[in-house]
Amino acid sequence: MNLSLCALLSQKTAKLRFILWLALILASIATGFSLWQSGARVQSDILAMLPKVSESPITQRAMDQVEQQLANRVYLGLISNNEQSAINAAKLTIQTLKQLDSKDPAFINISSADMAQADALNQYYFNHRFQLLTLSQQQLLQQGQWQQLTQAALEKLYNAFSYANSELLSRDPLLLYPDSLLALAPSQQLTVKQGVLIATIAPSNNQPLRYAAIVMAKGSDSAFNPNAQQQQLSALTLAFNTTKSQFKEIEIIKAGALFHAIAATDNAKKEVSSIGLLSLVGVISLVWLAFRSLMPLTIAVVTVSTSLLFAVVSTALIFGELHLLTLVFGTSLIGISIDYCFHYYCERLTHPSDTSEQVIKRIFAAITLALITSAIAYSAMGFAPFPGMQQVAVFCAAGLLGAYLTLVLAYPTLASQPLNNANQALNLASRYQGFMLNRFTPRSLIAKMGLSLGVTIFILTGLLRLTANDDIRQLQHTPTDIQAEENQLRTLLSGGTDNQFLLVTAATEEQVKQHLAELEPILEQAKQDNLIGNHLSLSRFLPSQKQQQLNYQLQGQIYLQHLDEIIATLGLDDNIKPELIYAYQAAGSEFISAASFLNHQAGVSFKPLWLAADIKDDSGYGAIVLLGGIKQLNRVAALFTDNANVQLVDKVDDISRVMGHYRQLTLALLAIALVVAGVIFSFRFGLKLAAVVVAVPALAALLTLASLGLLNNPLTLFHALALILVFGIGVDYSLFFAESTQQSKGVMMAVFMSAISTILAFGLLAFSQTPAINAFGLTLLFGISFTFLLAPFIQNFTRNPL
Amino acid sequence: MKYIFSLILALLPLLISGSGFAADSAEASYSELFNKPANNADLLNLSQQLSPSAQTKGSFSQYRYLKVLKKPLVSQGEFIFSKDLGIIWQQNSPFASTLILKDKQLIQIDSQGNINVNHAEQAGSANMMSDIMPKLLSALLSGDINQLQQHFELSLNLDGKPLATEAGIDLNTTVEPTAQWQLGLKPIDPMLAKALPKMVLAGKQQIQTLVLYSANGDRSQIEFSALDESPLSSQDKARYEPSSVGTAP
Repeated sequence: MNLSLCALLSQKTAKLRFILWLALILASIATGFSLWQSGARVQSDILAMLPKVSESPITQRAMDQVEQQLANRVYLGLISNNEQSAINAAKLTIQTLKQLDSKDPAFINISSADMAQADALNQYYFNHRFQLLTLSQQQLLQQGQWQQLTQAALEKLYNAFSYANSELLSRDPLLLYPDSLLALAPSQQLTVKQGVLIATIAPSNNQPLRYAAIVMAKGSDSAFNPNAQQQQLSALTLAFNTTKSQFKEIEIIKAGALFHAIAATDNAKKEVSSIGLLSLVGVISLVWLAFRSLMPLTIAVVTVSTSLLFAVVSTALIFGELHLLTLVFGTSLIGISIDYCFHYYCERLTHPSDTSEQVIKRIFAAITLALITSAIAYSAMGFAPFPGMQQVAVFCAAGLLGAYLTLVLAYPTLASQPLNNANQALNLASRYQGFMLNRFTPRSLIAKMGLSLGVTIFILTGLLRLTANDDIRQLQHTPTDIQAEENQLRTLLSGGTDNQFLLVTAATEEQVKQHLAELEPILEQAKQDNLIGNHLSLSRFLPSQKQQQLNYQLQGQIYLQHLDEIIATLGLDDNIKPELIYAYQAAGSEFISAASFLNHQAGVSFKPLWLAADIKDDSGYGAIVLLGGIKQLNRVAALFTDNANVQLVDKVDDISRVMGHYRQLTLALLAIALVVAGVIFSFRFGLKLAAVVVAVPALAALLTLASLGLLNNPLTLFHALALILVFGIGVDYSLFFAESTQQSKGVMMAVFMSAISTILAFGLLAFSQTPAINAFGLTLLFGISFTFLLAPFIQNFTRNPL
Repeated sequence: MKYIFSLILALLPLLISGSGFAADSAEASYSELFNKPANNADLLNLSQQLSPSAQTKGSFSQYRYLKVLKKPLVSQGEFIFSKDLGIIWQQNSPFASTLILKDKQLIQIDSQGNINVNHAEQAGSANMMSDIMPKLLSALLSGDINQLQQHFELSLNLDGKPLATEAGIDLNTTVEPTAQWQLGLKPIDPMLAKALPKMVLAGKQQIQTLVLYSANGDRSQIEFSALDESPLSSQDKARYEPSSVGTAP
């Protein structure tokens, strides 16, 4: 092994290796270029990094349909003291949005009140009027009280402001249909003026009564797609500016995923540039201060660039895209890949007379072991169900491999130039280690026991206070002003629509319809109990066939038995009689079915709420009931626990549960990784030293967890993932110390520089506004600091074997 | 949404048969009126002439001409309007029924004495009555031309010929058939305009007639009489609170 290694790393192969390295770089660039040409892009869709949850086929279909329906919707409220101004402003906004690029529109379905929809509903249901009755009409007819209905019709007839008119009377003499049509309309606190939806805002202490004109639109592409986001944002900005230039006093509020996504993208971009830049500047000044030479800096830049090139190209090659979050986490790669460079140069400083090859040979074992353990750590991270996290794992592993290959292949040629004499830093590192070891190594038994006891108490108290929170909603950091606007608009739209919905399933269409009808009183009660704000069900639109048959039979009393009396009582023209009877008899089988309704213009917008039987998954029929303004999710869920046909689908909760599961799994993987690393190390160092080498990152992890507990920072999957990285980096530190038996000032300096650069990069991540990144950074800040403090003490075991 | 549906209901004839506006004799007599856009000076004159008042009460006779009916529906009753309290529209013959509009409530009392209360929010202005009527009557009876201009395109004929009713119980026959002002109203809201394309308000010192045209040629004519603008008595005020008010299910 030593012989072949010598041959491999000998002077003679240096040129060959350098050419190989250059070839690799060129190949990577070519691959990267072709990937970019074929459309690989930076993906900033937050949804793309969420874990996949396995659901039954029909539930999955329901989720997809709901997501399709609700995704990319934008709601605007144009508020004014003057109702007419609000209406005109809304019209102008709609007009401006519609006029924009018609070939590639930013928004589709730009509307306020949906007049065409109401029109279509009327057209559809009027033809089915003989199958429709309201509950009170049913009851009256069941009691044979047709005279009472006639009297009510007569009263409406006398009202000049009612909807009784000649056309309607000649087709529906008792005016029964209008009530059925009205029952189809969802109850909303909104009115319509000149085609514009208007909500009134009650006067508050410093505001008079105001009017909000509502405008709705659907983004033609995902709000999380950066290009679409930009397009939609500029369309809205133009519309807002146009509107505000004409209506100065108009206040515009907005809601929708778009605005969350824009805030998240802006934030991520800002953080990537600021954290990345600060990290880079910090590292450069660190190198300059330590080596007082431009050469190591150049080599460091080459190493980091190669590392990033490998990382980006491999990730794009495997995933076809690069997630923005990968880039954010990936900035930390700068901190890790540069460690290899530090080790090389610190070793050169320690052995000024060695050639480049000799230095590489000295650190080869440590670097290779470091690469292997880091690879173990990253593959553990890759087990997480987050596509985004898998990307981070591939990104970092590929990046490290790039740095490693640069060191082994290119350093002999590139970094052969001897260093300036810069012993100052080396001596400083050595003095620091000496100070730490002399001052803080416990000598007496009492001191040892005291220290162990103190550390144990610290860890135990911390761990006992440690809680976990896997709610994915905390992943999204939304600025308060955006949230406030959204809440205000939601209130105006009586609760909006929540992510949770009910799924009603059964073997036949008729059964689903009947279950939907049974659900109505339960949901009405839930609304009265203030559990939910509103719900949208197909129940109103799709009465069961059984009910339709009954309604038809009941109306027989009107058209077959008492028509003469009714016509006489109302004073109607006798000519209408034959046509009425004919229409009634012809409509005997005109049933409202899901297929006919949903394919009619009236029902198209309700299509996402219906699930027809699918032969592929043999799942039967299903219907979705959307819920809005849910106040007590637990109690809503409890309403349906005993109901085999109704299921509360809560994707957010499902994903959160998966997150929790993988948090535990990741921590378990960390423990396994520690054991595996220990086993690998024991072959090289023997059992005792291997145990010490592993104990450093293990103790660092425990101390980090304890610190998080004491800070009341609830544990998430991202903390766990960061701990894996702490292990990956931290085990390198102890490895290098363990490898360098006597002369350790080079290692101390390298670890010192590595820790500072890593803390620079990750310490900045801890200041991120995005909770996930913040958790990641904070954990690494603690973990690396603890490892850095603990690692030098390994020297106690290598110098004076126990 | 409910509101849209209520308008759709009013539009039913159009949607069902597509029959357009059928001009009848009564409409013809106003045809000139709608060619005379109102100018502000005349409107101001008119509004001053109407001497806005905070309350009005009086009697009405209503004639409904529906094509499908063998003969017109004639009804009589009384009304009370108050800017603060709302409107009471009470039909006395051929049967009793009452509508009370107040505080966003629509209270209906039918011929059997059943009381039905709709809250405007709940009902979502289910009936055109509850949304258009208060504004319209409030503006009409208090002579608030500004309010009318916000919702209607106005035309004015200061020298119109009174319209006769076919039922022969024309209250105007007792008065000399001298010239009267006629105010034509076309709703600005397109949906409302389809449902109620034209209205004519006519009068002399006071309001005399309101004619509502629907799109299919049906027509309603309301004649006002015995208008009294003196403050409401406590008895009148009490009528806004019908006893044993039941809430709609």
